[in-house]
Amino acid sequence: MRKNTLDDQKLLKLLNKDASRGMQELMDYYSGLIYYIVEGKLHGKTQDIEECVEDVFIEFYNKIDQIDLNKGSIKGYLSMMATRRAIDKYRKIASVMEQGMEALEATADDCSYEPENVTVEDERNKAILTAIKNLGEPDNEILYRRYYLSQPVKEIAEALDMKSNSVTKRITRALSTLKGRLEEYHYE
Amino acid sequence: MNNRDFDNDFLKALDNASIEDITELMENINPSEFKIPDDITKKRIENETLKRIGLERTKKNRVSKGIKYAAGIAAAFTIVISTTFTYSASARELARRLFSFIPGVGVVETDQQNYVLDEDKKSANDDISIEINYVTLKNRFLEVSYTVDMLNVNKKDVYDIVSEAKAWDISQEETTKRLADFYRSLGYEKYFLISEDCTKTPEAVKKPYSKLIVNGKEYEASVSELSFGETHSGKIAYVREVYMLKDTTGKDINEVTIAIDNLKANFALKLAQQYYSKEQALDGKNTCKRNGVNIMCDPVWSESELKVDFYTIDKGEFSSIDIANKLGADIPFEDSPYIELPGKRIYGTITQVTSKKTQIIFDIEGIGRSEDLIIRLPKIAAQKGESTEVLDYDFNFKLRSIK
Repeated sequence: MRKNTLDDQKLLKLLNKDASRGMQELMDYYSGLIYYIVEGKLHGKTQDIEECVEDVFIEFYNKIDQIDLNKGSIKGYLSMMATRRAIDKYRKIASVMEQGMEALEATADDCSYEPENVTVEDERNKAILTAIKNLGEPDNEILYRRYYLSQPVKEIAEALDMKSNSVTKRITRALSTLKGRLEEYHYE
Repeated sequence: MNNRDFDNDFLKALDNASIEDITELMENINPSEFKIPDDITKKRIENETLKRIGLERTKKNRVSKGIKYAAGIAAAFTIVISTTFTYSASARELARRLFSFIPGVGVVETDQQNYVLDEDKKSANDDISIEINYVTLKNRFLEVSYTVDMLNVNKKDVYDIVSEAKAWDISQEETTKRLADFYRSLGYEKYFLISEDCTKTPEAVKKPYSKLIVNGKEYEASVSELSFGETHSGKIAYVREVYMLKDTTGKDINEVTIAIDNLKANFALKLAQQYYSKEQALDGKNTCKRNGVNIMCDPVWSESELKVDFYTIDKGEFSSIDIANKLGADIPFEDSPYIELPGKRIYGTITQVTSKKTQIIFDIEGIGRSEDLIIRLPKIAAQKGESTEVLDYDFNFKLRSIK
């Protein structure tokens, strides 16, 4: 069972009881993180980033009834929506800078898991995620911050109270370990 | 498979992770660590989101620091306005004095006039071109949006540097350094802070060396935001800055300038058309409402041209409304905005599109201000969710002549 913070439960209750106040609390707490995720994937005009952030919160509001705290946290749901919205928006805009954009070639399928639809890519994704989680802390968090949030090494070091050199070394080592554990996919 | 394939697969795996996986991976990440660049942007996002959902902002217990934005006052505004209709003329007068609504800007607290850009200004030298797009001055805070076209940057050269770095698996830090060297070689160091500091993307251009000059006095931006786009062949910077003007009000301002190094773009301000309540704006003669979508036009006459700013006051059930055909809805030319005259139409030129307004200039040489005009918007594009549709709402605005 997923660990639920008390805050998530209280926030959902507030959203159901007083939607306006609940949404303000939600945005006040999470808008920085969501903006960060969207900006890291869009790299576009501020207007596009802002619109995308708004879209994320609106989607969350429209899907409140589907939020299952046994499966994931509010933070997780919002982050997932932010990634998919930003990827969608990038595809629509398709006129931003080249730097880093190749990283957004990931698909953003919204399909739920159905055994008969498992593809090779799905299996590989699962294998990679399992391998990341098995790295343990803080390496899995460092990789997540670096690749999912696109956070610079310096910021990761500050957040984790480590030296930048240590973070860089950990990234290199963790990637090497991952490739070793995923040898069936023949990564070099 | 080579190293690049692993990076791609890794990112794909993260982007397609399930909610359980994302939650587990994010467990130790504290959202408070991340901040939106400035309070104004944060409040704007919150207000727009609530508006699009159809919720009213409620008063919060905490007092926000920094610029006191109107959103927190909107609740009080609503209470005061309802009071004016129920109780006394003095309450109504209080509301008029305290609050005003600037189309495209929102409800602001004010005991003085607010100002906007009089006309767009462009200025250029051999290296850069500055164009002022949007200005508001309210409560001594001047917000300006402008673009800086980096005329000597060939986007193909930038692309070559980045793609070569990717092909050779060069780090983001090294790529940023190469870009920094590239921009310095073109002499952009005197206009922008060029730095090898690597952020989320290898972008070496950090911020312009800009300043605001008002009546000869120089100011530095208290908020500065920068993003980039591409021109046909090069690179353009989109800049938004907020300056706090001490001891200056709009009516004292004779000349305003944005300066970057020795290039100056001068512009002037005009009083904003203000309404004392949103309801008043909506009931104004220059608004037109169709099925919940409400558009307002703000015309400025001159000898030979009519410049009209269109604001979307209400988007109705839609998330975006577009007059300028930028949503790719493929509105035919004959359904573009035009002035209707007996026996003929005058189509306009779209000169500015921002998140707040669309500006269209109509050539009215020979017509001048002696005739009443009707401006028609036969079709507009509207976005809802993923889809965009063309609406045959036929907005029209009657503009009275000045006789």
